[in-house]
Amino acid sequence: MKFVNGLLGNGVSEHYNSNGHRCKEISEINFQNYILFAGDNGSLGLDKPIEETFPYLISQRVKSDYYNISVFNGGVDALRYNLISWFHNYKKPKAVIITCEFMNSLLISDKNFTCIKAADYNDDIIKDIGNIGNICGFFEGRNILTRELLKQYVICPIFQLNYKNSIQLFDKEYVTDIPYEGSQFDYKIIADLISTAMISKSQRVRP
Amino acid sequence: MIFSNGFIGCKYKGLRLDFCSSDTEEKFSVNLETQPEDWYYRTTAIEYKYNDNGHRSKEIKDVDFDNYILFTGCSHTEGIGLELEKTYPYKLSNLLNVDYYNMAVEGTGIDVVEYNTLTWFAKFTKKPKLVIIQWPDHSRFLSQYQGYENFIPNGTWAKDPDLEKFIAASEMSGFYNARKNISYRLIHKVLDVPIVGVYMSSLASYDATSVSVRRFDKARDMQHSGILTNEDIANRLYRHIKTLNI
Repeated sequence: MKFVNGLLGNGVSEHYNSNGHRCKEISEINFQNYILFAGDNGSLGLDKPIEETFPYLISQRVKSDYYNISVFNGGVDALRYNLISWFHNYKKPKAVIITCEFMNSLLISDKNFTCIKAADYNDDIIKDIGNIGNICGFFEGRNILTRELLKQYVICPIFQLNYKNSIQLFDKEYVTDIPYEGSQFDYKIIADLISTAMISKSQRVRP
Repeated sequence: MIFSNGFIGCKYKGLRLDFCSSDTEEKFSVNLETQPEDWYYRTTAIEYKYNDNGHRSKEIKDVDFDNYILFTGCSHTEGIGLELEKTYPYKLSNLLNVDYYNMAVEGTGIDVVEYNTLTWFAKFTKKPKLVIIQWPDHSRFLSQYQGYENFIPNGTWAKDPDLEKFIAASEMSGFYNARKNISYRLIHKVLDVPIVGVYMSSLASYDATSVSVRRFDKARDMQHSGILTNEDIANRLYRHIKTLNI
């Protein structure tokens, strides 16, 4: 992971743009008509060509350009950082699609902030943080503060993919919640679900 | 701590108290027996007045939004153990001839500092002339237990073995560094006004530019910084701010 141009990206790879995100460059985005994806592993779809990832498929279906600020194993800290940074810097999108499988993921960094990366869950110390963080209310506190902060910064319709057995950031009443019980690798089905919800929502608000 | 009007504040919102937090009446009674005859607090009372957001500050509607600065931090900035007029936010704003709002809440960690500061900047279009951030101990965090309305601030004072293990593991693994890294960057990104950091010299610093302060006297609770220390902090910050040409 790397901070580039005020956003947290996935680092350097042939999969990513110059910010470390799996999408086109920011300079190429049609800011008059775009949607924003924020999530983690699923929305990156690293097992498939980009044309088969659900952000790409959804953008085709809803006829909008898109940007994808998802970070692999980034969890809620990467989500919050990238969403607030995005809304602070850029013209707001038509919608935000939040698809975070692992909300409670942990990032680790050195003392001088020179690097940041996802924690290794095979490490016993990280396992301790994960387990005790639940018991002592740390994760719940972190998620509540993030949720309330994002409500103030993410001023546009929000669609939330609700993976089975995963923690959801927003209450169902606040966003368009899209329950999904299938495999996280069925990108076509996910794309269908989300784009159908988006089209349906947009038709409801049209006069 | 509680949510109040969108901010995190202390649970005493709207109240006036004679004692608060570590500055307890019991401790005061003991200190009356042990402190010298001329102990300042024998004859001087402290009033803790909390506004509608649970902050030890005037109401937001009373702030002069054309000429103000913003403070955030923990109990050191809230001024536990001190009269309001002896706190460094009060003194510094007087030196700078500006109004101020103080969002500091006791027990605060970087999570609440980030939350309250970014909330302020989301809510109000008239920005402060500068923001003073008293960086707290980075091991502190806010807990939310299911079924409870209040948040519980946690930190190194915790006696629970699980919490001690969590804090040690977070420190050793670099998780606290990442958390601090994210919050620090986010605050500096969103706040488009000058930020002046301050931290107690006993804690790990957040950056090279923050003003380090040390405590050389004690407040009424014998735990927090006293009158002279707060005056010193205000003077040091004032001198630092003057060099910034704001």
